[in-house]
Amino acid sequence: MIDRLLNIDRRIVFLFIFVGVASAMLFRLPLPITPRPDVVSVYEGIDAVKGRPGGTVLLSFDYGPGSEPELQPTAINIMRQCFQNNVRVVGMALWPDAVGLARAAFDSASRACGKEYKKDWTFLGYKPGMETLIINMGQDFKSAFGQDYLGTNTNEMEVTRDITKLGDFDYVVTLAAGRTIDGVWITYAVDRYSVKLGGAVTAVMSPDMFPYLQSRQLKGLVSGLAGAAEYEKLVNVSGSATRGMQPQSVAHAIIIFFILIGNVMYFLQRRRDRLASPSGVASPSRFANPSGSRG
Amino acid sequence: MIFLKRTLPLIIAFVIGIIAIAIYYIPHQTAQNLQETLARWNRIIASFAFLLGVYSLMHLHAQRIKRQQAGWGYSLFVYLGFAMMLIAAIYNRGNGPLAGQADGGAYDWLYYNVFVPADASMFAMLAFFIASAAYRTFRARTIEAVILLVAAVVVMLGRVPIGELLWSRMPDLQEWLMSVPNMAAKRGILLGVYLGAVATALRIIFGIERSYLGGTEE
Amino acid sequence: MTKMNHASSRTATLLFAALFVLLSVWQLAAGNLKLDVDGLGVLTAAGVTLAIFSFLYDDNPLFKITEHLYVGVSAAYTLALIWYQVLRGDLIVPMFLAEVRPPEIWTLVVPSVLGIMLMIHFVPQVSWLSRISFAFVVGFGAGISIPANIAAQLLEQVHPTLAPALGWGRPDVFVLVVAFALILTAFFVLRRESGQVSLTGWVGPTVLSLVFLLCFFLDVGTASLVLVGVIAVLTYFFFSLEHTGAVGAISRVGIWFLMVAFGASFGFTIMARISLLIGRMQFLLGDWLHLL
Repeated sequence: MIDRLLNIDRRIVFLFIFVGVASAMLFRLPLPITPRPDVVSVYEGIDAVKGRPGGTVLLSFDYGPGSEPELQPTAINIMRQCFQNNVRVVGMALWPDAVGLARAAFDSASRACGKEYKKDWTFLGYKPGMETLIINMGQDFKSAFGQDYLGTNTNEMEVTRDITKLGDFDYVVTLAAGRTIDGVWITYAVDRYSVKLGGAVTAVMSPDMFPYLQSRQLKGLVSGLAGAAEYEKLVNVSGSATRGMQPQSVAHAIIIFFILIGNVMYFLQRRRDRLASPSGVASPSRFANPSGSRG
Repeated sequence: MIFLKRTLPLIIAFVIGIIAIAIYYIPHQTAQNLQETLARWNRIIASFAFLLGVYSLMHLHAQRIKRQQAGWGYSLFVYLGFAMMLIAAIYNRGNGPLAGQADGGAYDWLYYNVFVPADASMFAMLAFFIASAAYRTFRARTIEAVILLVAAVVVMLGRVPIGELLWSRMPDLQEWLMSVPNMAAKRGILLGVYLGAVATALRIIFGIERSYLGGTEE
Repeated sequence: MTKMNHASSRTATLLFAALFVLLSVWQLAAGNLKLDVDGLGVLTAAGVTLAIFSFLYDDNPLFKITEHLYVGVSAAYTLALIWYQVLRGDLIVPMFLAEVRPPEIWTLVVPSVLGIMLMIHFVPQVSWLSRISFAFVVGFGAGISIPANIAAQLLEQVHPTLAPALGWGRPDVFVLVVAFALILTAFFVLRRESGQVSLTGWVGPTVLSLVFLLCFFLDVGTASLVLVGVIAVLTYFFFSLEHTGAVGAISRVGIWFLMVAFGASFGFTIMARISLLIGRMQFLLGDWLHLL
């Protein structure tokens, strides 16, 4: 029985996860969501731009469809917050895969808030180069982005006319799924071009960002889907991230349960083998899963 | 010929590298203009590197088809997908490739309905595999594994609303764990990584590290 | 390449294909989806999603076809983006199509030539020319990274580790004393492993956990804990010295800090992966099946 449980077909485990997540999505329960201080810092950083004449926020879309559930809600909510406070938004992408997602986010937020392209927002598109692009933007913004994604000259658009360098943006938020946040933005933009940087990262990257939060190179951090849900709470929206917290909680509980059961079975197996062995020492070969087992 | 093939690239890397270090510290406008120009050149060359990557991919699958290696039929689908997307991009809603990129059209349709779901689904599958791996392999065999397990459980509970329901201070404990011991360890790792990065960059500039030149001949 | 189990792979293909067809027909019949551009888009996306998920049952042809289609679409997407955003916008238009050519046109010719040299990497007779382009790119990247990394990643990280020491109070001194005691404990554990002293290896981590909990509940000692942790972790990674004696003891404390960090990373990784699954499920259950 213990051996069978320890070597269970992995598809049974998959089924547990699928059923757990699906049922949590179908049956809703209100769960408390309390915004953490790092998320509030990003919100307040953008809020501080409100009221400044020509206040403009730069959003850098540095993620792909693989991270869309975690970062897209934050992108849309930051845009909504900016538009509701009459703050202009300029978007750009350091990842090519992000272009379509960025355009979808701008379409959604600008239509919801009745904001005008070229006047209140624009999307500059993607340029390769990472740190070299930041250096270009830091010294001469218009030479880095002479046109936006649709080919409109950045000198002709009200939203970018007065931007000459990176430091002219009042706040920069990078939505990152890779090393662009620390390897590019923090290293090349924050120190050198006096950029106020907030971050929204996937949960995988979040633990690595805490040194930068403590050193104040990163002014705030929205981590993963939970961070996105907290941001939705701050902007008074109940979106996909908030709805995702229930299945997230259930899935975590299932995985913790699996880990505990796995360890209990493991220790029971060890105890059984130790008692069965003539020397009273458990044989090491019994601990490993048989090589023919799945998963 | 050896000079052109081996020595000249090393000299170029050295000269450009030293210039790049120097102009970082020189505030004079000429130096800043030079940095901006070199950075722009770098970006343009990087975009040609993308073309290299695409050619490499297509060449790999062409070889598979030509040699009829196992699974070569699937390589035809690579070309099918490539052709569909490329035709849509070139057509550009009737404007052609020399006009600015048009909004909407088949290019965007393929992006939102093929590329995005495929990419997202590939990553979504990892949830199942990580659950299976956690059940099968996460064993508290040693003291260190127990520390890892306890930290993981605290973080997993503290980061979601269920943790707050179990204990009101669970999110605070999770945050403290991330901001203090985790941060200390990550900072130690970070310092080591970037010391190594600086050392590697110096080795590249001084020609000790030559793997970027590729090939072992000459 | 892994061999497919034919029966299982056939089951996977048939099962997921049948699931897709049945549920799509249901949605079309119920009027939730129409056979227009948007409806076909949702159906295509759902089909692609299920085809990829069929790998969970077993590797099968449906998954492989979809995977290869995705690779092709992705390559052409990136190629088109580079053409329109960079090559056309930054090179072709200013050099050939602009009504008035910019005066500094030569600054575009040089990188264009270097870029073309990069591309002839695959022509065996002249592939060495690409080394010049690689040398430029790599040399510049290495050059700008050195001062930037030293300033932003090294100095800016060392400063907040040491600076709080100027404002240390009694709790921080207490933490330092405990850290010293921990190091002593680890030292004795190491001695015990060589058979000299009898002391269980659980003592150190238990004391460390108690220190953590004390510092959390009393909200003290953060700065000193961070300093101890950073030094201990750096000591662990210093492999040029043998990890025995005092160095071994400090590096053992570093391992404990690393285990906390890895546990936190593991927890967050699980969280991230589940989030991605939730995103796909929201699409399948919401946009496709209209159950949400």
